[in-house]
Amino acid sequence: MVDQETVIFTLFAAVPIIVIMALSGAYGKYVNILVIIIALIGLALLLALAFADFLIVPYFMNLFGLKVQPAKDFTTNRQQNAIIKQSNGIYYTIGYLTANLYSYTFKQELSEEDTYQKIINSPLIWENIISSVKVPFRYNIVSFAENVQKVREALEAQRGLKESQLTKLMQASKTEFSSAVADLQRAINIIQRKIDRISAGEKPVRTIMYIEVFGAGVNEKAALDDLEYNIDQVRSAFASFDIEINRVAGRELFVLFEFGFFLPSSYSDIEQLFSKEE
Amino acid sequence: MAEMVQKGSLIFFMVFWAVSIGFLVLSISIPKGQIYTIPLELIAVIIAILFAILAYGTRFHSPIIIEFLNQRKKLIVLNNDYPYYIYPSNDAIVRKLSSEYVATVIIKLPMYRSATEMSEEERYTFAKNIGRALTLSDKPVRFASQLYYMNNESYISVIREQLNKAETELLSLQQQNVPQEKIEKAKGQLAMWRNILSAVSSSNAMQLDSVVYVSAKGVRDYEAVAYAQQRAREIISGIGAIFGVIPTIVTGQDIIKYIEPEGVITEAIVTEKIKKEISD
Repeated sequence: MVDQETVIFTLFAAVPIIVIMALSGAYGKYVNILVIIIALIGLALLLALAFADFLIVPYFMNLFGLKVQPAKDFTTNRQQNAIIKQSNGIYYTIGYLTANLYSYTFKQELSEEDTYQKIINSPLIWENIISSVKVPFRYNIVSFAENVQKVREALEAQRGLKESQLTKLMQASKTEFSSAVADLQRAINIIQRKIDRISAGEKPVRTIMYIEVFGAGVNEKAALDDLEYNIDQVRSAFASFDIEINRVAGRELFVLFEFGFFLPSSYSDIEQLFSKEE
Repeated sequence: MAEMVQKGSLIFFMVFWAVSIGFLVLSISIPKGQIYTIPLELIAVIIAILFAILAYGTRFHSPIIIEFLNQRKKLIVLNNDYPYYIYPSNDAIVRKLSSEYVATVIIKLPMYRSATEMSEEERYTFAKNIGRALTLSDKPVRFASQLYYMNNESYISVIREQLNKAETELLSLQQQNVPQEKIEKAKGQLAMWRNILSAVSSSNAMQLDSVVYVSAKGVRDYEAVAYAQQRAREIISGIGAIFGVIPTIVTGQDIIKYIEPEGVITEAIVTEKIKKEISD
């Protein structure tokens, strides 16, 4: 699910393209077909930029051979998925991988037993990963506690809404709604479990998790090849943690590069840097 | 970078959008009926669509787009300054933003106990404590576990010293009239130190460090550093209470280890890798 801001920006930016398509008749008998084709291509590119800019922007940067220097001595590669630094004749590279862990325990509906098992096994799994990886990397968690009262109120509001929907469905008492009733009851249970955990003293937390992988070589190509090899090693080592690891490319590469030195001072600053997805 | 995105994006969005509308109007208002006007119409349409796409592009990429249009080079320079400098007190890194400074302090966590030594209950408590540590601050804090090549030169020199001592002891025992058992024992010790040296020298040892990065802003550099140090002290006392350890602030050249890629992979390691590749 995509945030409202992206939809609004996309619609606004698409207005000229939509107007061109609507007024295509004004361009002449055969020209209008060409104009519609060009407008459709433009619209496709705009949608790709809005919802997959991490693919589109690096592709065009690579196509035109463009690189970016985010700070002195640091540049990106053409694919915009690695940072390169030269120091004393040696080239160093940094690649970034996303690796979100917390969401799967908090969002999924797991039984208490399953959660307990996952928690007691996680330190062992982590040590197995560390002992099996022979390449340098840094696992990062950018975290901050949320306001307990606000989160609790939001959860109670959600629960109230689901309960009123459930009441309406049960009053209708038709058999075709039985699966919808079951879904709502499950959703209410998940929300209630979260409220119970907050009541028991757990603080809600927002996290951004990512892995920095490092490479080095005598020239840029050797360093980038070393980085690719190291990334593959880290990916296969973390496979046992049952998380999805994605290579970061494009604008989010610059954000994580900045995080390497300085963090934003509040969550609202961080929110503006990433595309929001629920 | 984040600052530039926030400030510039909306203004540039409107500018490009307005240019797009302008070319759209131009393409419609070009007189029709002549064959030479068709390419002009198509060019105006293409430019209008291009600016519409660029308008959206400015949402997150305005610094890159604007600098590219300014510089028109293949290397787009967003910033020609170093990303930080080490503050004179040697315990923080600082950068000047447009109207303020930002500082980061790094805290090292001395946690050395293996999970294999813990019971199930201890592992559960440890994992829960990690969760508690993540909620210590309502402002962003970065927890990191860094696995990197250990600089084992000093360790190797200690082993070499022990090896030399063992060799000297064996030679002196062989010259004296001592029981054969003592000589055999000295030979065994010498063989042991040789094996240790061979094992340590043959592969690159890895080291795991846990660190926390805390940042703060201030109107002056010393203000930013003071706020960052204050936040660091809060984190230190919180982590101390949770894990029962005494974290310390990273100072001096050790800061490079947790900031720069050459701190993670030292020149000595790279040189060794190259030598190994050549010999292979």
